[in-house]
Amino acid sequence: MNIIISNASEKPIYEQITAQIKAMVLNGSLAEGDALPSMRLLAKELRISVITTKRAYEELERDGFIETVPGKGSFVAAGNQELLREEQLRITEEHLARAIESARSCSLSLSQLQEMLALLYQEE
Amino acid sequence: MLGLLLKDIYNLKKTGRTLSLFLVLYGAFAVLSGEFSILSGLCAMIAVLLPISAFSLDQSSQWNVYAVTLPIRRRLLVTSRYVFTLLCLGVMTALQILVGGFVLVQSYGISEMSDHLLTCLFIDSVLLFLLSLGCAALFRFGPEKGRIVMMAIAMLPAAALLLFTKLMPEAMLLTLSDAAFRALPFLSAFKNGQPIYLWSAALFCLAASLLCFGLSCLYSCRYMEKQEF
Amino acid sequence: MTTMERIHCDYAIEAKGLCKSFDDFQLQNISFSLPCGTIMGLIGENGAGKTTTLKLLLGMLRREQGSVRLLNLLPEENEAEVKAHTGTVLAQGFFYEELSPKQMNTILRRCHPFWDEAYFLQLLKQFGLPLQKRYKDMSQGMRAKLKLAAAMAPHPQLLLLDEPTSGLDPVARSQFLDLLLEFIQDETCSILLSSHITSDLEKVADYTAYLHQGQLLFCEETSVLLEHYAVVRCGWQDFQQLLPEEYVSYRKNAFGCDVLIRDRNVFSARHPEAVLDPASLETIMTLYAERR
Repeated sequence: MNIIISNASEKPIYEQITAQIKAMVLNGSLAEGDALPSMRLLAKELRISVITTKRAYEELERDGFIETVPGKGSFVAAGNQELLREEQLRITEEHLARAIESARSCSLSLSQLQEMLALLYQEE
Repeated sequence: MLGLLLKDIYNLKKTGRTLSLFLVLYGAFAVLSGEFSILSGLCAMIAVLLPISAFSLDQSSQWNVYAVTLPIRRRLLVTSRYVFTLLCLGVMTALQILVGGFVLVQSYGISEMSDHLLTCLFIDSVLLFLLSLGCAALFRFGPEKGRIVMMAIAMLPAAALLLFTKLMPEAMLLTLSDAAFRALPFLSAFKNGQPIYLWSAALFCLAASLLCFGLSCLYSCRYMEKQEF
Repeated sequence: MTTMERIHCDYAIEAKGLCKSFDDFQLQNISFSLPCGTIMGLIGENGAGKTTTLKLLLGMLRREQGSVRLLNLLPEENEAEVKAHTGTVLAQGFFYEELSPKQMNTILRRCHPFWDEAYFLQLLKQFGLPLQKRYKDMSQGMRAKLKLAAAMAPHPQLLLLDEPTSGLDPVARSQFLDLLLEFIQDETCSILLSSHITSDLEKVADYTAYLHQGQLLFCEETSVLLEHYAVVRCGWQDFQQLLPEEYVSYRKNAFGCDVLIRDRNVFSARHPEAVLDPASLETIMTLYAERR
């Protein structure tokens, strides 16, 4: 498992961690029931504060991605299918929004855009 | 306690080795020539020198500052220092008794042993008294100033006595000593050299000195408890 | 060696209203708490009172006011117990010049009830410290590591470190920090460390406390400090348009000003065009000191 943080990024470190772990859960690198490294171990390896890793894990738990069992550790939560789908929908929407922006910038009409979409969808 | 004593022994190993060399030399000299006063003096000096060196080392490496962070009671730090002093005195006394005794018996016969032991006891009492004042001074003032205080304590009575005998006219001294002998009859026992008086006096002096030593230890403990680092 | 019972408590250190005065310096009303299982960094200029604070915690200096609890114990009542569970590294004083680590071990194992000889020797090996080398022949880096090994050998629950990495080269410092992070893997262990080297603290300290001229100016989560504080660089005229409550302090130079902002979000909301630079602990410290 790789978690890369950047000190130069604008994003706070705990957000970088949550984003990366969320991404791993959603793309399947972390399966349901997989154990996550302990907060302390993560803090030590990444050389950051335990409070930061704790905050990251708390947020992940709040968002339903992981479950923390006292005394045992943190594990990837079950029932992420919903979240996965929601996330994918959100990403798709994002991409579409960008496509629309790009289309508008070269004065493509809605019908032309829909044509393009249908063609591409049928290709794959 | 044992750990603290060990530390002093480790620390003074080097000094100890050099001093042992001197002891061996003068010991040999004493045995060969029958003159052991130098050895005697050396033993007394070492008995005082070693504790002072131990104090000095403590100060220069600021051991006390570190020791106070360890779970060692401050009282123990002080007591171990006093125990070490007693040990040094004990070892030197044993040496003096043995070597001196050997020399005397060789030269003059076994009868001298008793007198030799008495002398050692008296010297020990004086040294112990000196050390009790000295150790307290070393704890209170630190080794630099404490050393000076110790020397003053050692010199002062001797100097006072010297001045006294020099300044007082002869006649005055005689009358004073007569008066003293009349007032304190047991002093004549001293003059006559009756063993029982001498021995009880020696033991009394030793006991008194030990008491002083104990009091000095208590005083230093009190002082250390209040010390700030 | 007797096996140690771990003390369970919420706070490793609870200091309330500590005061101490000297001829030329006063430590005023120092209060802070160190939660168990965390590292707190104490920063401040030379003479700010970092060493004094540590000594007050240990009872090496008598406090004039205030109270201290270490590992939920009162040092006055349970001095030996507190010290048995605390490992200290001070800048001054340690061991004798002529002694070697092996001899130190022989002495200390008789002085400390929880001394773990095997662990001490393992640490010495890990730090690359030769057993027979005399203390006076050791380099500064070796001495620092030896002091830490001696402090850690009895498996303490609280480490109090006063400038432990000063004089160490960056590589040695990095190894030292790794050791501290390893130490904190046990949740019952905590560390209070004072240091000039703020970059080290940015990396490992969960909390940072800033002592300035005897006063505790702040004690916060390090990540919060680094996320919220910012530096605005602007011209003198622009600066003069700011209200005093918007900034902490500023430093003027020939070509502009550096202004320390406490909360970048609040400031950004008020001045959206302003360019905010992240503030490192060092910047926060140096600019705070400029406060009038």
